[in-house]
Amino acid sequence: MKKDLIFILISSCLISFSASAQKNKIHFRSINQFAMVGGESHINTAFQTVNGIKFSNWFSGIGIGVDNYRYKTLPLFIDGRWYFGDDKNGFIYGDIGYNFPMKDKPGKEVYYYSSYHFTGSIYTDFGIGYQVPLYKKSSMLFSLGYSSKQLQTKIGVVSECLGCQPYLYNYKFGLERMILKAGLVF
Amino acid sequence: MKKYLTAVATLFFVIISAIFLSSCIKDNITRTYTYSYYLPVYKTTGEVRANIKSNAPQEVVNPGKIVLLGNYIFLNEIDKGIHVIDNRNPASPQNIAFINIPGNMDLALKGNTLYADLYTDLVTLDISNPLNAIVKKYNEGVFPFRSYGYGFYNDSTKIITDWIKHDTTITEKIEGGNSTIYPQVYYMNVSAPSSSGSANNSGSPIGKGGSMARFTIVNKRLYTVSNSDINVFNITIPNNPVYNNNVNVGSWSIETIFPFKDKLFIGSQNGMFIYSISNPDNPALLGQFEHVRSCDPVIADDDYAYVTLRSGSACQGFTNQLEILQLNNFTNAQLVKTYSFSNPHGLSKDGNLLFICDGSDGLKIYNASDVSNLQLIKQFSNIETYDVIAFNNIALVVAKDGLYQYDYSDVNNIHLVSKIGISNK
Repeated sequence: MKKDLIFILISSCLISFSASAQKNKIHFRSINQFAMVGGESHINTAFQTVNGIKFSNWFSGIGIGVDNYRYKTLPLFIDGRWYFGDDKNGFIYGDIGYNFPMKDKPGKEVYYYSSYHFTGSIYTDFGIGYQVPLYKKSSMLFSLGYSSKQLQTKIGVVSECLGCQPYLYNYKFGLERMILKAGLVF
Repeated sequence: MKKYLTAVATLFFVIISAIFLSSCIKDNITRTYTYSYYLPVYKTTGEVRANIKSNAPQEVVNPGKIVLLGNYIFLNEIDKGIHVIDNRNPASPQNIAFINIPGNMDLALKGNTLYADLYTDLVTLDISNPLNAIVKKYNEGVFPFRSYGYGFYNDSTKIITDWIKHDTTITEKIEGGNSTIYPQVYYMNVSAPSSSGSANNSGSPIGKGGSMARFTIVNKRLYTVSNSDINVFNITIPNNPVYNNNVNVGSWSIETIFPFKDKLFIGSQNGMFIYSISNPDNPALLGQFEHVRSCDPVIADDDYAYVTLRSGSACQGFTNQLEILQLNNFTNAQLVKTYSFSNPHGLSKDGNLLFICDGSDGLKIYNASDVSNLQLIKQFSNIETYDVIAFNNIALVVAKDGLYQYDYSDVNNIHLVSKIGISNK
C-alpha cells in the first residue's frame, strides 16, 4: 500500500511540474460528479470530487470519492484530463489511485465465516466525456468510462474439529465496471 | 439552445453506450486457499484387534470426549483411542496408558467395563486393571452411520488406523462473481468430536461424562445416539452388551445425549427432545423444544434444562447463546431466559454452579440459583474450551491446548490445579 501511495504522489508532482512548465494561465477547478457504476455483479452508485488546476487544454487534480459497487470503497486518486474540440468541451480523462476498503464484512460469497480482513488495492478509471458551459466558469459534464477497482479479503473459518487450524480463504476481487458520470464543474 | 441539444444528445449516447458495454465486462475474482487432506493408513482387522489393549501412554494431541470414573479420567483421542489418566491427585494427574481404538469418538463406563465405538463397531473392554484392559466383546456393525465418507468404504478385512497429512494450495477463478462457498473440513475425518452424562443409577458406579456425549449409561442400559436414532444396548451382563432396540427421534441432526433420573435429554441441531426411559428398552418421547438451527449440547436438573446454541462450520447458523428452559413435568418445556455468549460449547452443573465452555472466551462459572439472573462468579480466559465435567469440587475442562482441572470447593477461590498439555505434533 505504501508503494502505491508513493507512486501516486510522485505521479501527481510530475504532472503538476509539467503544468507549471507550460506557463499558461492556471485556474482552480472543482469537479463534482455522481456516477452510476455497472458491471457483472450489479449496478450501484458512486460519488467523487476532484479538485485541481486547469491550464491550457489540461487539467490535473486529486480526487476522492465513495464507490458503492459490490464492496463500498473510498478511492483516492489523481485525475488527468485533456480537452479537445473547437470549443474545448470534449475531454478524455484518466484516474489512477488507491482503493481503501470501507466494507467490513464479506458478502454472500461466504456462507459462514469467523474472521475477515479487507485490504485495498489499485483503482483506475479511464473514459471520455463532454462538458456543457453553464455560467461563467461553471459547466455541466457527462462522461463514460471503464473503471476497475481491486481489493482483497482474507476470510477465516474456524473448524469444528478441536485442535484443527482455521481455514483461510484469500479472495482477490478485480471488479471491472462501466462508469457513467454526470456532474458540475466550478 | 444548440449547446443544450448537444448536451442531451451526448447524455443519451453515453447512457446507451454504458448499458451496452456493461453487459460485456466480467469481474475477475480469484480465491486461494490452503487445506490439508489426509490419506488413510490401513491395517487388517486382526492387527487392529490385537492392539486394543492398554499400551504405553501417548501424548494428547487431539482430545475429544471425557469420562470420569473414580480416580481415573478416560479421555478420547479422536479417531485414535482412549488415554487413561490416573487422577488420584488432581494436582498431578498421570497419563498411565493408551488404549488403541481406531475410529473411536465416544465412550461410556460402568464399573469395570468400558464401552467404546470402533468406527461401526462397539467394543467392550474389561478395565478392572486400567493398565491391562482386555477386550471382551465386539458388536459389529451396530453404528452403520459411522462410515468413513469421502469415498472411503469400510473393507471388512481392513481398518483405517491413521491418516497421513498432505497440504495443498489451490487458486481458482470464481465465475459469475456470486458463487457461494461452504467452508468444509477437507480431511477424511469421520465425524466431529463430541462426548457422555450421568444419571441416577443403581449397581456399579457409572462414569460421568460431559455434555457433548453421544454415549450414556442408565442402570443396565447403554444408550447411544446416531444422527437420527437412539440405540439401546442391554448391559445386564456388563461384558456382553446386547443390541436391543432402535428408536427414531424424528430429527436428522442429533448431537448429544444427557441422562437425568429416568429421562434422556437429546440435543439436536433443531431442538431438544425429552425421552422417558421408565421402560428402559423403549424410550418414549415426553416433550420437545424447538430452536433455531444450531449445535446444542444440553444438560438438565429437576426443574430446568440448559441448552447452549452455537454457530460453526458444522453447526451453521449464527446463534450463540444459552437457553434455560423450564421443564414443566418434562412435557411442555418453556423458554425462561436467553443469555448471549461468544461460542458456547459444553456445560455442566453442580449444585447452583453452572460451568459453561464459551469457546475462545474460556470457561465461565455462574451462580445459577436464580436462572433468571445468572451471576458470573469467575471467568478463565485465554483458553479455548470445549467440554466440562464438574464433579466433586473439580471441574475437568477439555480445551484446545490441554486438559485442565479447576478446584471449586471454595467458590470465592476457584483456581487451576493442573493441566495436561497437548502435543503440537
